[in-house]
Amino acid sequence: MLSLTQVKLNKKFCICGYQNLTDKILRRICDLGLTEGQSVRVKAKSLLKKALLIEVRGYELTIKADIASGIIVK
Amino acid sequence: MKKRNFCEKEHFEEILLVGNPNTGKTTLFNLLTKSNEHVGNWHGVTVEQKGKNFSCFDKTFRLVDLPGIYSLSALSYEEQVAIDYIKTHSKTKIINICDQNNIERNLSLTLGLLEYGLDIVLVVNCMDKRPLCKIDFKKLSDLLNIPVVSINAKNGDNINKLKKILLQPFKIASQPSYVSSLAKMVPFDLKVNNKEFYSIKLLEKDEKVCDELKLDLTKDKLFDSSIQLVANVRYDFIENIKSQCFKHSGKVYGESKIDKILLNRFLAFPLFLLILCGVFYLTFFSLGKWLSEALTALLDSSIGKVVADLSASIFGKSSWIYGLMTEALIGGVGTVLSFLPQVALLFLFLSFLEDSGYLSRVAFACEDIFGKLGLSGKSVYSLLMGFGCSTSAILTARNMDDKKAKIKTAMLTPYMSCSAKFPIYVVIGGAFFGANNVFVILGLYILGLIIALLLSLIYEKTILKSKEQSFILEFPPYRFGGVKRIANVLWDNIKTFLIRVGSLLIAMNVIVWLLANFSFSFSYVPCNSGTSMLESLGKFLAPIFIPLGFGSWGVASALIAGIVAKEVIISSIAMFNLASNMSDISASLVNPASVVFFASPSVALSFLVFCLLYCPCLSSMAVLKQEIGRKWTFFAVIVQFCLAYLTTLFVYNLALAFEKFGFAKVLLFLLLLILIVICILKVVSLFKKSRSCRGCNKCK
Repeated sequence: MLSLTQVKLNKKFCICGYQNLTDKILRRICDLGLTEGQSVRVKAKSLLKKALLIEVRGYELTIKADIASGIIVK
Repeated sequence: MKKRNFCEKEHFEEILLVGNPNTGKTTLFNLLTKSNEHVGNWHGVTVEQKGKNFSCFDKTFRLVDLPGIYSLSALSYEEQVAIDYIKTHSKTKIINICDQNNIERNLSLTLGLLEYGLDIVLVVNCMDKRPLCKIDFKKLSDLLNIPVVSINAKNGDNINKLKKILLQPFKIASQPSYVSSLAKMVPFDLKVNNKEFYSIKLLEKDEKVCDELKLDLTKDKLFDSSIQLVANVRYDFIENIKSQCFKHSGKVYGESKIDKILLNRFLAFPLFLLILCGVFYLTFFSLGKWLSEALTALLDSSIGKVVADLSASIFGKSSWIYGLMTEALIGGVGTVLSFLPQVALLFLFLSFLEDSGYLSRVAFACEDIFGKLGLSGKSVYSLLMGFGCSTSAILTARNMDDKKAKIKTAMLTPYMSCSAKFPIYVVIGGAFFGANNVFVILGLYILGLIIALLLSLIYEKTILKSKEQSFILEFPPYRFGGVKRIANVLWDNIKTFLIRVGSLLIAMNVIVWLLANFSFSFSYVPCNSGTSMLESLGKFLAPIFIPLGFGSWGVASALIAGIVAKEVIISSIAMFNLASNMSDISASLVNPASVVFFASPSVALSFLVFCLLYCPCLSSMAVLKQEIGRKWTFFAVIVQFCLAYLTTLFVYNLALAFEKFGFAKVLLFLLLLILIVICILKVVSLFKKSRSCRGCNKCK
């Protein structure tokens, strides 16, 4: 199990849980389709790796690395 | 509220336009109401509700365009505005607009609205010729049990079909099948209307609902993973719909090959700066400059000459009305009017950047730097729009998740050099720096940005420490608005500029001219006679600016008038110096006999820096007050004035030192000074560290 910040670029992973996310943020990422069992792919990282570009449910989304570190994948 | 009362009085039924951000709500709003509201290919262009009447065959409705939302639980201020509006208008018909290319994600909000129990029409917007997802609309309508219409909000395909549905009587749609089973899981006996919706919101741990019902969810284990549970149930429902109605091409929405370069970790930020430099170069120093010169020649030889000749023949050259016409209107307004091509071009390029979808990529590239300064990548949008007009840019700060981040972004936006300041740079800079004015103007733009970012860091470390920004941002696909859109944007900006010049600027110029040419006993006196009202006031304020190098009454008066609108500064200078066009003003600025005269390039530079920073214009202050409150607006204006004064003082003395001792010597001195400061800071931090350390492993 890895967090989304630790995965290799352009490899598909499956979301299997969340950690250390506030209710507000968890609710939002769930609304955006980052639900358990969903496949996700990290496509790019910003210069200091503080933001990630991910692909989920057929669209692209950027999230902060702090939030991505709370999304557990396998 | 007033609008709603009006609506009730006129018996116009309201219809709300609701959807995810960037799905085409405002495009549909413009289509239905024949309006021209601002649209863009960016998350959160609409930050407040807008309403307008539209006729639907023989009936009139009032359409309300709301900011984009992802669910009925808010994360930012503008989302809260939309959600509150929906909840207080539950007996209103709703157009829920979805993007056909991203319908799977968009349906999550549709389900949220259905859970609430509203009368919904699902509008699937497809603005592309080849959509990424084909949909069986009839089946989708059957599965959701609501009317579904496919439209193209850009060209109006199927709009009559939508209008026919809107004429149907109000009927609350049935809730999705999973709602009752989810509601049963909640172990509370809720004594509220719409029990099912409130139960789901409790499972989602919506803070507002918990506060409203005064319930503590921490004791029950059910709520440990209830947010995920609700999301899973919703998306399972969507998966079921997807399997029956959607046929996806497999392509990713928003994905583009060009992103490999534009989002490259090391290239993204330099490329953005390069694009920005290109925009400024095209606007101010090539295309824009040629157009501006052509317009100046046209204005001088046509309107200017006609107005001057006409007023001379009617009133005579000695009349004060002739002076008002030639000095206030031809000289003052004409000078600003000649910058029309450049201002229109700047707005066109900014709108092109906004429409293209590139700004989301820029926000991603800037997140690292902005995050460190207590801002978010999303602030890029507000700051960039600040180069156009601070007033509208301040409003976009509503995109921020956190109140403090919103206040900070709103307060920093006026530091961006807006288009109204550009005539000042061109005229004054052109007179003193010639061809090198390009670098002076570029330097001023960069100075404004650097000061804004440094100030953000100071605010973050002191009074406005914001919460971690979520920076959740969708990537829209790259789009080109088309020729019609370009023409619309150009026309809009030309119209806005002309209205501004024709109303505010003429009024201000007339006021300034009258004050500068009439004494307190209301007798006509020539400007610079020592007895006019403005001269007396200017002389009273001028000593404040002596340390900055420009302590004359003319400059002080122009700066005071510039608080209303920055363009007034240059038009006032034109009036005071009796100049009728740009070249006249430039020549008069180096003439010691003029009212406004700058003794050296250092003084001119000092004045430019002060103009860049000293104060937001009156309309920006009004928007600031509306957005962040009176206290913060007052604070922002005071800080900005003090900062402008200190920065100008520093720049002026530095420029004087350059003039006196030469560039190399001063630069060496500055480098040495910086080195000494760094050494002192290092020693202080080491000293602090050694005092606080109690023998950690590193020290041992």
